[in-house]
Amino acid sequence: MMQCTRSSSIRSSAAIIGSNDDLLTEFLIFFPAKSLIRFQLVSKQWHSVISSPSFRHLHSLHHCRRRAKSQPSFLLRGAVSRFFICHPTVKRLVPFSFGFKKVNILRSCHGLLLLECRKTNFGYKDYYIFNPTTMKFRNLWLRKAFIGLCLVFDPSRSPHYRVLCLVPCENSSSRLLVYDSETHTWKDSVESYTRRQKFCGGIYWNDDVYFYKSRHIYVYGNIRLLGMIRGDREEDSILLFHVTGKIMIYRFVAEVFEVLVDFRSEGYFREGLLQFEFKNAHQFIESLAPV
Amino acid sequence: MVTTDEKGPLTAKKKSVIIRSCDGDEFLVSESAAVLSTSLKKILEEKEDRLIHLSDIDNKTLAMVIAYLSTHADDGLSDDLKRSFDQEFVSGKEFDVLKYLVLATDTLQVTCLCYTVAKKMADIMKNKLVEWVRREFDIQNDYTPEAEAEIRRLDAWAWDDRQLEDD
Repeated sequence: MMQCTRSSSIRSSAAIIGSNDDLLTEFLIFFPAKSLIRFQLVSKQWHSVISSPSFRHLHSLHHCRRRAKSQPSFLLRGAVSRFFICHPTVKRLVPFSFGFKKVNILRSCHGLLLLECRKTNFGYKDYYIFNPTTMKFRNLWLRKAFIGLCLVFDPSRSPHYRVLCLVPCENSSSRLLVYDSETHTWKDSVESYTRRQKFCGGIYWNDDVYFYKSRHIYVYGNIRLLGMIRGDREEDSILLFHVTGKIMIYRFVAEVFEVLVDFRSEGYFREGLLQFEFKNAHQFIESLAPV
Repeated sequence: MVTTDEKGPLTAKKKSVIIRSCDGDEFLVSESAAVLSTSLKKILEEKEDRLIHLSDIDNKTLAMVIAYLSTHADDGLSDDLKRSFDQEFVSGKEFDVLKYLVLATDTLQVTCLCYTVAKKMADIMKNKLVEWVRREFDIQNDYTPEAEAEIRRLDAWAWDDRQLEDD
């Protein structure tokens, strides 16, 4: 008869879980991205599983399906390109740095950001895909003048993201360039558009991309609109507002304003000032999605 | 009386299997429960033998897995009841017990239970220190101090957390 004492097999059971790649993958998929970033340090084997693109795709897919119920976090831009992460559960603003000098977030999509960066006020604009969880980024090498730019990423449909870029042509029409992260190249799409106008941004919604034009100044007295965050379900969408010393949230369903963060006792608070820039709130999603 | 005698053992033979743990204890399990494990199902399809010997699963763990399988094979229970059974099943269990369970469910290929247990373990582990994880899983740190410092530096934000636990 086989012998099996608990104390000896507890060591081996732990060792088996910790060293079998398949079981480890199945197991690690349940962890939040932040824990996994730390657990890369457990051993080289854990590092190789957690940092492999196939695991990161699986993890993004698993968590994008389960995120719906949790409260979203945000990235807010303060003066002089200072960014803060706002976690609704801790009700504090945590400083965040991209490591670039002049940063503008153009879009946030399932954990990836589309950034516009400059080294100086009038320097070249570089466009990056940035994952604020892993701090990994990729330069898109977009040096063409464009009239619309949009990031499309939905892990439940494809592990790869695309960047759509609308560029003007000579005959006052425009054409679409598509960057695909599967090949990391820009390709000309066959479609062309007769109308040519400058857009402020693009939104990916229900399989379509909408480039939009309007640019209103969202400031009403001492209330400023920071942004609208679209939920997975339409009724989950919210508006973020800023009044002196506070970040407010408006939920469409409940039709109520709530104070999300009160930072009047923090060191960076300035009396009587609106310290966050309008239309500069973007959803922050912890994700291991590769760039 | 004769029919019952004949029918009794015959039904038992057809509907039940005996599973023996590595400590030698035997468990009588209905076949409908046993086949919820993909591995047991394969064994039963391949051979006539109604006695299955599991050389790497101990008594205590096997009893828990069988309780799970029997509950999930019970057609009289609603899905809601089964879900709350699952919650109850993993709550309050020690980490060591969960480690045995996740390994046993992996061997027996009971996917749903493997998920439930792994998820519970992740919940316990997510705020633990790296040193705690190495200890629990008996993993040697194979990084040089320089390499370890470099990785910590690259992802500094994930470490800036005062809530990490070591027990």
